[in-house]
Amino acid sequence: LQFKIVYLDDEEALCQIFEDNFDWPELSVKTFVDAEAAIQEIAEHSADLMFIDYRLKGTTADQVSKRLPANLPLVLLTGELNPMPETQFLRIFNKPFRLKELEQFLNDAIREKASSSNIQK
Amino acid sequence: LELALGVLITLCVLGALIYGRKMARFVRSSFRDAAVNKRILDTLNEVAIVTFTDKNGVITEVNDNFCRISGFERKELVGKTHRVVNSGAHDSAFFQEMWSAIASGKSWTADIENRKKTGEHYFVRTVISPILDQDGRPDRYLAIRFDISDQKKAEQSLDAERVKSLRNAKFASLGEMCAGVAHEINNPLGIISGTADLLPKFIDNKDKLRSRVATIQDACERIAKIVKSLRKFSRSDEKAERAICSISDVVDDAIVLTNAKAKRHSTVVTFKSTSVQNIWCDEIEIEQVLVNLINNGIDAVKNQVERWLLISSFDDGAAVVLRVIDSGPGLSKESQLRLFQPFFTTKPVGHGTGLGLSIARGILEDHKATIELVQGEPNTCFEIRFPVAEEQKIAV
Repeated sequence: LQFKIVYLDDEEALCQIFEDNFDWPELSVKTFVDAEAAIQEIAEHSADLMFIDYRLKGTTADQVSKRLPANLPLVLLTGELNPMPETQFLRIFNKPFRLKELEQFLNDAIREKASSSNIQK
Repeated sequence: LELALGVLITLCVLGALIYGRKMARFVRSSFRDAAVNKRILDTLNEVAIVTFTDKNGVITEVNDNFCRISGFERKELVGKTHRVVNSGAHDSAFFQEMWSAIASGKSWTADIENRKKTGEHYFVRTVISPILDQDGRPDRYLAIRFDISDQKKAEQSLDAERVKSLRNAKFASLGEMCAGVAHEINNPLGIISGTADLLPKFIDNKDKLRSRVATIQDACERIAKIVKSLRKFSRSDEKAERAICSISDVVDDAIVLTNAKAKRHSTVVTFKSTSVQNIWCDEIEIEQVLVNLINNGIDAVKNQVERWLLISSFDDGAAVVLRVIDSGPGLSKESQLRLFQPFFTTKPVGHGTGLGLSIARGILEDHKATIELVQGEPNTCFEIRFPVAEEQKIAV
């Protein structure tokens, strides 16, 4: 069972990096530069985790998060200088981030999901 | 009512002409009166520095005020030229212009920086009038000077305050920009760092490798562009550095610096230019004015449904016109009246110093440019008119 990730960032190059790096067999990665398309994807197919950039074209991660399922874990990626409140975000990564950091975080998340699935079984 | 007003104005003009002639007759006759002449000279002696020189500029008479203000005794002045109080602040061309005027029989007026006996400088507003001989040639000269040192000091202090305000405004706008610029740099840095991490993965795929290297190069160029727009702000001296500039270049840099804020507030900033003329300006100062106007515009529309700014530039005869229009509904009559007053702001407490537009106008006036709110537009529209850079300056 694949771990489904949605990555939303208006930087196409960052989306490409995410796709290139997380081509792991246990992951299903879908990237979006457009917030509306990402919201629609989650509404139709759900996801296990969403990475979201703070400043997006015409909107912000705050605004997008209000239109997402409340139980969807959100990870904020931000290049903001000022610290962001963690209220609705599971974790915040500051740009420029190292891929190793994200890999570590994702491994933990996948492991956590697997263990919770085992417990449920 | 208009007819009555017209008649009244006509009567006033006629009255002034008749009264003016009578006044002139009175003055002419008064000056023929020796008692009146003496009274005028006594009054001048009380309030001004009065000196007479011969036709070569050698001082023949000085009044007490000259001695009191300059600190020289009468005997130290009479028989000398005004070089004795020359501070060295004016070049030879300045005095050549003076001699050229007075030797041709004309009066000459200027503000002069002189030196006291103590070495301290003082300022005098000077009028030098030639006294003509029977053939109409200058025979000697009368110089009347008013001590304007206090006024000059006040002006210098005002200039210093203005420089200080400008510096503060520069820091304030830099502070605001800093957060946005950090974001704009962190994104391409993330691209460089992430793509560099992935390069080993594509070592056997030359197409992908080439494409990822190009991605890194693009990100580097983005950072370089941002840094370039900031570089000008690092200038440490306070001297204005004016040069021939394209208004489009200045606007482009101002947009780069305000891009983060525009993005944060989902405001689309567009720039269109048909201008082919250049302006003579201090690029940093004009960029500061534009950053200020753009930031104000973004703040003004952040609660609007439509959020956009349209910047346009075009040539209009001897002027380069720059317009900054935002999607806001315009300003109230009260705001329009106080718009350029120092410390006036429409922003909430703590969100604006109110120095922006007053300083912007000051900067523009220094550039012989004007700024005004255009009336009759459906949106808020500021128009700046710069004089076109003159040919001789282009040659420089």
